[in-house]
Amino acid sequence: MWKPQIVGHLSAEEIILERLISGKIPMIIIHGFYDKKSCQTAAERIKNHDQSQFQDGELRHIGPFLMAHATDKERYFKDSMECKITYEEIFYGITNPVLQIYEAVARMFPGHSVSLAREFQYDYSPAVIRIHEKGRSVPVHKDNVKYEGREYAVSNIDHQLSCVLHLQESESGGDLVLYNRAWKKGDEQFRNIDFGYSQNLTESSQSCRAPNLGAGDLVIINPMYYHEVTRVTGDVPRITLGMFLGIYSQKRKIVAWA
Amino acid sequence: MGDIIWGNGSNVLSASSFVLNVTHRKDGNRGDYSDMEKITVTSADLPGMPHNMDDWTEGSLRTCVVDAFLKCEVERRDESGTIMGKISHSGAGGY
Repeated sequence: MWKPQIVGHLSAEEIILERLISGKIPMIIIHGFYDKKSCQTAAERIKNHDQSQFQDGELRHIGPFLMAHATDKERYFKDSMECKITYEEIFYGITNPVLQIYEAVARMFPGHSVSLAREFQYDYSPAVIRIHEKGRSVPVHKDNVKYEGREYAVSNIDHQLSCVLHLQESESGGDLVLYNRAWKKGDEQFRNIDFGYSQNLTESSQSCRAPNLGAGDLVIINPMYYHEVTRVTGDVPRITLGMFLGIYSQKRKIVAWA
Repeated sequence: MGDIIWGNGSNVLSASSFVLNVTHRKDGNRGDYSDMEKITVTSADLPGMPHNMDDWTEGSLRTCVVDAFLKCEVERRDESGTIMGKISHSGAGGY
């Protein structure tokens, strides 16, 4: 069985991320990672904050993410600098979950440094907040900065992981599903026009649906494995904060970005 | 809006031209497009390619387009039937 590792928020030391990197497990779920009350506060502020639209308005988000600026580094780094103020506003007076994630990752990778990715004097975006309203879904896709982010220094990492903190869950739908199939270049013939891949690509693969996620839960996946978010069917929007981790094995260094 | 086709890059013919294996065609395209089209790039938005096309080489184009899923915004066909157009590498992610 391809089953997630599920742990409590004080058990980060028990997590062996190598099992995720090698695909032995589909995901790691840390229940209660971030305080529920802080989730509520952040979610309220996010709803009242200016949001950008992406993919013809299909997805709403706060903060830039690298893949939306794959060939426009100047814009990405400029937006990344400006979004710092936004995050300070959203997490004012409550724990900054980005730093909390860094601390947890440092405990999972003893002897490694963990920091925001930088290129020359520019900081990468620390996180992206995504708001998925009723009817929205994210098709089967992978994330691979080594392939799609070739213009950026982080493309020379050894391994990539994805961390997603759930700040608010919808009453129904919006489930994360992982498929036991890692991307390979030949799969590009199965691409959808706008985003993602044909469902046919993963239909015969073993899958794992993240069980019982709630506000405050942190999910870590290997984003080279195909994954999707099912359609949100409840009235309450699904709100997440996401970032990637890039691992430099020899340097024992981990960088984070969105 | 001009015609748009999508597909996977295959043989590189020069520092600015290659063969596209066409998999998708925009509804409402005016022209007909075969399953294999020769493309000459007039402008591009391709990760990893120098922004100045004068700096392109066959090798760098090969690295960026072979097997990659590409969008071609058609400008015209030349006398030999080659499509002249803008090429981009679509795809942005995160769940």
